[in-house]
Amino acid sequence: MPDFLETEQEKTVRAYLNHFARTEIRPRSLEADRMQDIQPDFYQAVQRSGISMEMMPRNPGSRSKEGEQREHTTLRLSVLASEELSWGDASFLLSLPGPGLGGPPVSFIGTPEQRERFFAIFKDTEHPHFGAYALTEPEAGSDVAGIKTRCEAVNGGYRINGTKTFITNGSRADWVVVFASIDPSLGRAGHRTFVVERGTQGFSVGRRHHKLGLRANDTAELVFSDCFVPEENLLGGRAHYEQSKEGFKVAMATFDSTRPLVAAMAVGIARAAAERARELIEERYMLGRALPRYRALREALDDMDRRVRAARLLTWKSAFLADVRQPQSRAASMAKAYAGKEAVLICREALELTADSGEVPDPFLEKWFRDIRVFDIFEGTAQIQRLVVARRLFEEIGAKVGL
Amino acid sequence: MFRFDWDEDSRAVAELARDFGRAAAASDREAAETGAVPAGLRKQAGELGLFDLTRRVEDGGLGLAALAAGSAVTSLVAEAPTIGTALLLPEIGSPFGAPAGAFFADGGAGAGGYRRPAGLRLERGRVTGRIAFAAAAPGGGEGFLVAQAGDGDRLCRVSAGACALEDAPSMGLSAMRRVSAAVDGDAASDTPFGAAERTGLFLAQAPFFHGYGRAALHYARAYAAERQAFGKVIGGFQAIGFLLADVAMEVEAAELLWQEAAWRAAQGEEALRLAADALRAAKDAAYFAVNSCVGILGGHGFVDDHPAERWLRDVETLSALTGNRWALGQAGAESAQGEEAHGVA
Repeated sequence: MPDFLETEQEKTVRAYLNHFARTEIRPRSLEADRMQDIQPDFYQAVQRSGISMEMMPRNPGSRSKEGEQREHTTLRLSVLASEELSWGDASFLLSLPGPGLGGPPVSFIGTPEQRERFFAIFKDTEHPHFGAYALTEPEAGSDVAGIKTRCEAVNGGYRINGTKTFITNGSRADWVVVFASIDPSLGRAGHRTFVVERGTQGFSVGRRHHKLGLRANDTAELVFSDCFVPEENLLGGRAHYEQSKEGFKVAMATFDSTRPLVAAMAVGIARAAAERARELIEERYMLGRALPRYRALREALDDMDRRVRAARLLTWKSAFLADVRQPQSRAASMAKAYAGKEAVLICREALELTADSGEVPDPFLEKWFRDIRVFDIFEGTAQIQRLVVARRLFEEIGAKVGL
Repeated sequence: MFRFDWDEDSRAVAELARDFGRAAAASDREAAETGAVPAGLRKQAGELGLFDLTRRVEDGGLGLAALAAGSAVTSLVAEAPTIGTALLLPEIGSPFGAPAGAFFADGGAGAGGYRRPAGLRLERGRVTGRIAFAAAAPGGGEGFLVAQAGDGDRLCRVSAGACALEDAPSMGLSAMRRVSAAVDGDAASDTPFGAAERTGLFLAQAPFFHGYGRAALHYARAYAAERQAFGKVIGGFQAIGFLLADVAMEVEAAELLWQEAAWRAAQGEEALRLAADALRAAKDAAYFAVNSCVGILGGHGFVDDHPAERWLRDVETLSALTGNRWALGQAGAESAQGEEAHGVA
């Protein structure tokens, strides 16, 4: 039976992270956005608080080693955490030390030795360390299968050439999970997944992007020019790729586990905007008065709340399915598409509802209006999510429609 | 920790309802055209216990909780929308003790306080007034009627003789008896019909809309997988595929809102606002799904060769029977949760 009981663990995580977001993130949010960077004192606060990727588990959706049937709570807790921290400021969540989106592929297909080696740096809590995930290219965004970055087998490893773009935490990552093709004619089957470490010869950071929103978070271009990567940095080892499409599957499996997290971030921002709009409107109007002129405002606020809840529930369901090892690609895309769409609308409505003539727009609402726009774009655009959902819908009845 | 799976008993009941619906689906159009559910199907539904899903155990029912019962209603309506609604909607009063065949109607003011100019009044033990539009079982029976009293809404039991039922034609739900009623008679009993009861009513109504939403999604999908245009099936065009994806999202979101509301109500939490929101979302999703289904079928959706146009009429009629979305918004806003949210408690 569906169950919405909040456990003590959930309450604790939620309350703790909300407190952290309220006291350590929000007060820094506007300045960080203006500076397009997060100052070191935030990382000191992170260190003091004990917040880490252990609370935002580094391996969301990681496979059970004891048995595939065992139920995990990992992703469900992660989406709760993701919503709370994004309620503070999603840029700060994305900038938390840890493997980031690079974590899932290392967990999914990394050998035990690779997992140990690449995750080891995150045990150092004295200094922030970052991982990153480099799939998108200037000419291959949604079309993941069409990546142009090449890898060539050479003595002792591989040589990588190509450019990756829009890479979260790209300029400060200690290592980056990089997708490259060993033979474009093989399509998806030719994909290989590497971990490229900072300082590797031939690996450099290009420009840092200036963005509409999420400005405090580092988003960079990465350049690979005859970049030699040793054999032991091929995730899973050569044998892993003998099955066709395995590299592509890794990219897709990563999205199945990260899309609920991104959906939860959108929920967090939308919730923040809806709450802020309600606060500001209640300061200016008496919503409890039974005057028709206020009813439209009240209904608009209520409708925003309802849509935030619906987006949250879709997100929770996709996380639950992942935790119990049920197929959830459709659910993950539904959550991402719905949350992204509704959050964009809610943030705009919040700004509109509070934009009285002659008043300076609320800076937080302005910021969230800018921040939220990318949630309908990254981790798969709105169109890609609908493509995934539609394909799964037709697959359910065994129909091949060529979408 | 939140979860979204179903226990075996709930699944079994839902599968029973679904299988009945699949068997009944072939008669859905006939039922709409003749204005009645075939007697054999009605009898079979009774034998399967489908009229007793939420009826209290002490009244001879299965006493299922709203979640399990709603899941079964959705499963049946998704397969045979017109018949499923015609059979089960008149039983909407069963969670509140209405016996099978009783005429249930909401003529109260509503727990949210939206003021109905007309409706039913209970004064000095007598129920009077008019019900404009309600669902009724064939033949009609005694009335289980929500009436406004001095201390709030009351659920009143009124004899059949006090309810002058008249058929009320409408564009949809034509397999079900739709009535208006002039009521004038003594209440044999009356009990409070407050926020908890209204929450239960909203939760019982929403699954019918979920059923129509699913039916429309599945029908449009099957059509899009076969219908050819421009040299390929239309499901292969993103304009169609994306619309189906949007329908699936709205239908799923509405069902999840309802699940949470039903779960919280079952825990004893005040859930009127959540239930009103869930019903409102269910109405919107069902309309979006059925309207999209008509659109995906194009001209075929507009004519009665396919059920889409009938479902569109049904959904709007069902919406009229269950309170419009503005009234639901008002009910939610003026609930305890709404007052808290607006800072006016």
